[in-house]
Amino acid sequence: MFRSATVSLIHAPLPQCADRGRPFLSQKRNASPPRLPRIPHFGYYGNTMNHYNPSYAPTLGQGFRAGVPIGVGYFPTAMAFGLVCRDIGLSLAQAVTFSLTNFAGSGQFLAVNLIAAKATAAALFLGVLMINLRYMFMGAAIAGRLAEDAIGGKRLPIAFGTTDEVFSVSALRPGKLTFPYMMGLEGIAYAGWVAGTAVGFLVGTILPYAVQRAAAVTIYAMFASLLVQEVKTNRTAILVAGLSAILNSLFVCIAGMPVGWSFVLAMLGGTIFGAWVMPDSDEDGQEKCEEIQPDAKSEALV
Amino acid sequence: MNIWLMIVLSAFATFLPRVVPYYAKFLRKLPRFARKCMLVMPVAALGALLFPGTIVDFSPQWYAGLLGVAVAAALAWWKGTIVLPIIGSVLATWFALTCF
Repeated sequence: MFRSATVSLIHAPLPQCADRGRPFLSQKRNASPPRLPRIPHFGYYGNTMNHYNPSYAPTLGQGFRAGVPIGVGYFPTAMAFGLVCRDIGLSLAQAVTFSLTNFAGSGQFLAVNLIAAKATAAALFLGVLMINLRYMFMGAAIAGRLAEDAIGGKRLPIAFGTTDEVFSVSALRPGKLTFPYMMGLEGIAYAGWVAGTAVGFLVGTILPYAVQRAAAVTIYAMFASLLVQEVKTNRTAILVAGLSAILNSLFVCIAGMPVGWSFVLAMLGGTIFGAWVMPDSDEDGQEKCEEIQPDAKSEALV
Repeated sequence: MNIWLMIVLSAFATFLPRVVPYYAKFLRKLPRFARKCMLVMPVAALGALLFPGTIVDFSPQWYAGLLGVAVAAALAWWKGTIVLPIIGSVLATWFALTCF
């Protein structure tokens, strides 16, 4: 309050002395009026934000610019998804519909894996739901920072586009998140994901058979590199992943369980173990998200 | 088994956890253990997704998938990207499938 009063006083047009043409408030002759950063007064929020804030009401264009690296990064991963879809016998329309309606990296790879393994619909639903439960946490963090324009039905498209990378980029951005900004950010990521799926599928048709057979490893290569990124920031991750891998192998190869349910059970076992061994150092999960997103280190996550 | 139905189910299972926090406020104050579970779940999923699939998918030549995953992990550790490990891994698997 005090600060805002001072700032607007200084910025008000100062009365001039008739003889010298100099502000009479300045005591010294040659003193120039104090220079302050230009403050946007009439922006998105009217005149309610008085502090200098470069992220003031981010626009659609800013969202696009922030989203370009995500879209470019999604493209090859989505190509891998298109390749995998082709590999297990889905059509181009099915692969693209998958990306159009799901828009989730690990969830889609899991779903395709389970479809290929002839899992039941219930196992697929439960497995995909569980692997996507983390979005609840990310969505709660984004929802708390949305601007006043993102209300009611406008939150539906924002919710649809909530991915790990979108979360980490918007978490790094200071200030409120507006609807146009989120649409720009998520839209470009979505475009990269869907286009990559189609291109990957089509590229798969021109690859020679031997390479196509080898391309089945794409999905595992992706999982392995995701896991390695995780292990780099958090060494307990290898224990958690190792336990769930051993459990799943036992369930499938020795107990002969159906793949979908063994996956769900193994993931649950690994999760409970992981939550149990995870260090308790920092209290609120807000900081913990840095373990998922190593690049999202910011205090901006309010 | 209808693939279209599976796609719709998967879409629903993805959208549900995404949309709930935008309308429900109770999620902002979850018990600590539940929070931890949500954070650690994708890691646990990765382990179960990798094994035994890596070995079973290339059944007679089980070492091919294992080699591919090892190369991917090493490249990811070295470079920290996702494109290079995938390309290197496909090449390594192709090599193992054709040469051994």
